[in-house]
Amino acid sequence: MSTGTTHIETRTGVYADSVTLMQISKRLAALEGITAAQVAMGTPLNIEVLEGMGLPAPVGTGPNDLVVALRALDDAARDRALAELASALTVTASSAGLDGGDPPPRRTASALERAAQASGGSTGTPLVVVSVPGDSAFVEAHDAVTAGSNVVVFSDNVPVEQEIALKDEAARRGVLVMGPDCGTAVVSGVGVGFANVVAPGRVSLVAASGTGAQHLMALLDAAGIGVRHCLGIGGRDMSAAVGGRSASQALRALAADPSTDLVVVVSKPPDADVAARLRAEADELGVDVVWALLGFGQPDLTTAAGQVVEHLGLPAVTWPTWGTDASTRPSAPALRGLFVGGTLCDEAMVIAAESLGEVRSNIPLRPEWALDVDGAGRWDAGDAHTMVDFGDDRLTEGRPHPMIDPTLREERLLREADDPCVGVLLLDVVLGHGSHPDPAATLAPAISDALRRGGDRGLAVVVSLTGTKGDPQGLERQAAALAAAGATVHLSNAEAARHAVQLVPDAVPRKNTATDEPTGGAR
Amino acid sequence: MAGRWTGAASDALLPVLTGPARPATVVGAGPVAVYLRAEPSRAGDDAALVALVTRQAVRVPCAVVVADAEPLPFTLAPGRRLQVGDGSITWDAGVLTVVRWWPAATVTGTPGRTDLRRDPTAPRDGLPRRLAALRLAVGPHVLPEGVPTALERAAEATDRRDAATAAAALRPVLGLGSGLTPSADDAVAGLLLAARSWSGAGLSATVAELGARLAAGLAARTTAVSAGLLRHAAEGRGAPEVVRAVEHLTGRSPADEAQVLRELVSLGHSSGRDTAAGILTYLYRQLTVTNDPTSHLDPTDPTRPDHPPLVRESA
Amino acid sequence: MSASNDQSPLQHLLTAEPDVVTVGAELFADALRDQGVAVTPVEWRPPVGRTQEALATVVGDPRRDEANATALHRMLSAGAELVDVLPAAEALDLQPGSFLHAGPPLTVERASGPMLGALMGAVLFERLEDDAEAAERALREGRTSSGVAITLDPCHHHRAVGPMAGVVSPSMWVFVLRDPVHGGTAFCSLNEGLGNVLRYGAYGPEVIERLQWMSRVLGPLLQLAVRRRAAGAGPIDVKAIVGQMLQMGDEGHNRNRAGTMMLVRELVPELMDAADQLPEGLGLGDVADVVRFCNGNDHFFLNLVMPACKLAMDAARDVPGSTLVTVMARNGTDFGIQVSGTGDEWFTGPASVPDGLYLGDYGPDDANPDIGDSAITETGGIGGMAMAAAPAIVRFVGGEVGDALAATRAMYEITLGEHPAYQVPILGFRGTPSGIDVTAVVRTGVLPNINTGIAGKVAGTGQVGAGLVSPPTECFTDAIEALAKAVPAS
Repeated sequence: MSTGTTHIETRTGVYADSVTLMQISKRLAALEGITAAQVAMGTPLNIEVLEGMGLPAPVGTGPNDLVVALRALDDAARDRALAELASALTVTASSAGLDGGDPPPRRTASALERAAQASGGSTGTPLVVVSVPGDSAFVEAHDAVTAGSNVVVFSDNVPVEQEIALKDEAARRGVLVMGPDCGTAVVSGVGVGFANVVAPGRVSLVAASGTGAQHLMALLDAAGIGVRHCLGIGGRDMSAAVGGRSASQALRALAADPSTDLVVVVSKPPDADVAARLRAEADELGVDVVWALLGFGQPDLTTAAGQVVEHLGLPAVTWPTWGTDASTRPSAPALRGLFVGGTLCDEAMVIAAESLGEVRSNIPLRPEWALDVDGAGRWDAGDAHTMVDFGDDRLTEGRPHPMIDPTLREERLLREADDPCVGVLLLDVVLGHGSHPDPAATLAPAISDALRRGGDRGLAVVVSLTGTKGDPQGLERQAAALAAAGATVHLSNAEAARHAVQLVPDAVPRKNTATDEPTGGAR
Repeated sequence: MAGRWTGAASDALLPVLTGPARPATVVGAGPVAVYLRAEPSRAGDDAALVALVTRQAVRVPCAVVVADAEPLPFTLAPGRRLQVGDGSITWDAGVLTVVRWWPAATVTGTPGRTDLRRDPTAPRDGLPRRLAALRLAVGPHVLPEGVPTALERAAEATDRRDAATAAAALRPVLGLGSGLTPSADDAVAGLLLAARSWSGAGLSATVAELGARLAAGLAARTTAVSAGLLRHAAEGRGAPEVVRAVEHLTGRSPADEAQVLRELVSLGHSSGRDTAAGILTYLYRQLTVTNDPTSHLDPTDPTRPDHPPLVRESA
Repeated sequence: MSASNDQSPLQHLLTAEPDVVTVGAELFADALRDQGVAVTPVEWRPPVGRTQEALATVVGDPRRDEANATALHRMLSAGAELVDVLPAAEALDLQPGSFLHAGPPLTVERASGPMLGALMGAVLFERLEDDAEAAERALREGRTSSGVAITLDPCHHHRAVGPMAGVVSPSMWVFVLRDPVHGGTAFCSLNEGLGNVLRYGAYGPEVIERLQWMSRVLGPLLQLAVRRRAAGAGPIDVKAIVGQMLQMGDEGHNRNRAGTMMLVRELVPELMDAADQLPEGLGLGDVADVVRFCNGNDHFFLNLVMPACKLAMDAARDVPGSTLVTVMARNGTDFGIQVSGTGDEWFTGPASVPDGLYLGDYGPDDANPDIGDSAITETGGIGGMAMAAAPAIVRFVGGEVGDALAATRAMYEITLGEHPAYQVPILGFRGTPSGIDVTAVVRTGVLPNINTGIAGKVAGTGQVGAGLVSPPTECFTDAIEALAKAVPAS
């Protein structure tokens, strides 16, 4: 304790508040060569503390005196500390700005309060977009609903009872829950999630399928038909459990919208009772509806788009294609579809199964057609016709959606090209907000490569390209690049699928035919 | 290195922005709005006005809202040459791509809508009160000399479906006043929108014809920006604040009145109040042509709508 | 466009451009911004713990909104009047050998140094034992050498609060506060001042002497003044003084200077008027001592702020479905909270060592984990929650004025409302963030800011510093699980 040097002084007429002095003491004590430092006003308590440190204040020190007490290893250290003290006592005010404002909101509820304050309540109507993991989606969406905000829930893996609770609460409050598992919505032209750039129009969509809605909007765009709204409702809304809660709300709202002339309802195969109820509701509302409910024996999306064209009294449309049909015919037997859009995959499977029978898939039309695809996108289907949805939950765990990250599918594309069984490859490409900024940049070279590898057996590549003229990726540019790589490109997914099926050598049903009713729901 | 931006465009610009690229010139520039005049794509077409604006700027019906920028992220001086079309606006230092279309605010002049002039159940009961509220919101306001009389004559002629007389009344005052949109032009726009809203489909053809007649020679009388906005007004399109106020006043779309009127009159430097003057002129006329719509009002009430309007000619 | 009155939010959405709030993938926020849409992103993180399921249950509880509104309304509307000063034996019916302490329930075996020291001091003060060694033995054995049973119980179980160790024994005097709105009563000991004091675990002779003086002189004279005032102009409105002190640079926990002055201002005239009615054996010199004592202790008013907050929080108790925190308290070993919807159940976790500045040679190694019921002030929406009202004290942790503002602003994220009576001038007289919501804490991971003194960990040391501390997260994750279990099956 007694090594080195001690320094004790009192300074009269110097005052600083105790907190400042505590900080200064801390600063001095941290200096090299200083073993103890206490700078404090000479209050009885502080004098006691100093005594405890073995640095007694001079007799007569009063509460208005500043006491400086230092213990240093040497005089040089002491002098450095005194210099530091001088500068610390002169600069006490901060030059920093006082206030950084409110911190960013951490909950949907507080963000909504913040947004309402910012807009002054005059313009804009709040819409919440939830894409947190499924086990947290309910909480954020519930914030939105109870605040009277409409909400898009992109998240999947939300428990169905939470979906039902959310939608019941929403109905009570006059707001719409779009989702969960809602990939696409367009409200007043604003594309949410994966959505295409559409011109305003007088047709609105109610969509239980994200890529289905995108595809339909792309076809309508090609036909010169604009879209007013596309209200996503989530892939499960038209199941028996959820009972079309959001579909019904959306339908009623669009029926009351003076700027919507025609509604298209898009869904993967819905529960039959729910579909019937919804049809009755549409009749009762007197709203014109084109139904695009996929499934065996149901019109495909392209047919539905044609019905819209017809309903609006427009001339029939020839859907655009790019690239020329290869003159060579494949000699290998198998058709392989590699999809990023679940509904596009579904639609292609229905079309293929009608001619080819069994189509193996990770999202099979029939349970017995199930294909075991592992998390790394690997499977072995032998020589069977196969269609795989790379956007399926299992393949997107911990990985971006294939519409954003094409790696997995492009790897598989080359593997298929090397498979001597494979004669025809069917791919989809989906453009729009949220999707990869230039999918053809990597897919076109991969297609060239694949065609080269499978050239000896006449491998053919058919692409279904979903996009609108206004999409940021450039529909024509993407189509041209893919066609230049040797693919035949169709805007219509159904036409692409039929084209691919036609290319399959000996395209006759091999196992059981699919004209009978499917057993169980498709998904 | 060219800058790349994205934006959201009014659907009124669909033909201009999605058509083949054509030359354009900057005709007005500020920190939150740049106005372009796109050359006619072929002889006989009109030149088109395109406004590049931030979210904070007034969203005129020919606006492209530049994404996520305040103020505008680029500088375009008047006289600068650009290309407009194929979904984008392009110049030597940048490209602005349209990635969203929004519906321009439009008054209810669509077929099937009731013509309130001919509808005995039209909400005239509320009209005097609403007009009084707007007049109070505008406060003392003076239009350039000759404008109020011209507006009165035009309103009367329009109601007779006499677009020629209305145009003749308005033509001499176009361009009077200062600014990018002169006072007289704003007032005329207000009158056109009010007539379309009040009449439903009833007068839309007349108003459109009036717009077409005014358009002839418009470039020589007023600024390019004002001329472009007047064309939109004749088609029923305006800034959302203006359209909301007009629709509220005519009872088409009930709203928070104080807020709607406040938003209208605080537009621009004097644009909002000038526009309100045109709206008031047309709608006050609708009171006087109906049978005693104000009999229930206290004759000493200074806000009585049949008191002389605050809008007067300057001394 | 403006919503017309009869339009549902869904119809409104179909007629106007949306302003979007995004929560989750940044990609979608970017895609919307590119479209020229106004986007407010939520800075979202997964909830703390594995609480997703419990959170969903609690958030979906149909009772919650109304329950929280009710609890918050009761909390914010509660009043606080100083109605009496009494010996604890009388006010709390404390029997000889009974001791109250701060925080959640505690056994002597688990008691920290300052808690043990304070209990020892209280044993000595009550003359149950003659020396420290005997006092400690009595506490450990649960019985004094003369056979008096010793019992410990949290202050909070008796509508009472105590700063730091919070030890209350029968002979100590307590403030009695009443909530005229809801009829509640709350108690708090009298503040001893700084330095070597019982509440920091000191039990030396000067500590016991001061406590004796407080019981003999301070208590009776305060009682005289408080009763005169209550009978005359009416009881002192503690809530009103708290409201004013926040506008004078105090936050009501670590800084109570203005509050103390305002209290003394109220008491002095009453003492002067009572000069000829002083209790037996007390003279004008004692009056002067009392005034000097109160005036010389910047924390004297803390012991009135705390029961004022306790009244507010007790008013908010026991609302089924409410997730509002009604108690945050520490005993030097555990940090415990209670929640309105789960009544008297404690949710505890290990108390942590505050982050702060130390007196003299002391450092973090000398510090005891967090201790005291004074976090009732933060529970009530002041103290660390109102740091922006008292920029001077943010520098305890080397912060700037901006940090004080940021500290308070951050708290609005985890609170249910803003206090109408407690306002922060520098934030435009915004009400302080009030009513900590368990769901918001668990969702954001943002913990309440607590300002606190730091006690030395060795019994008898006293105060070693002051600083900031947060509750352990498990208090809140355990609470959310319990709240989830309390949700009736639908």
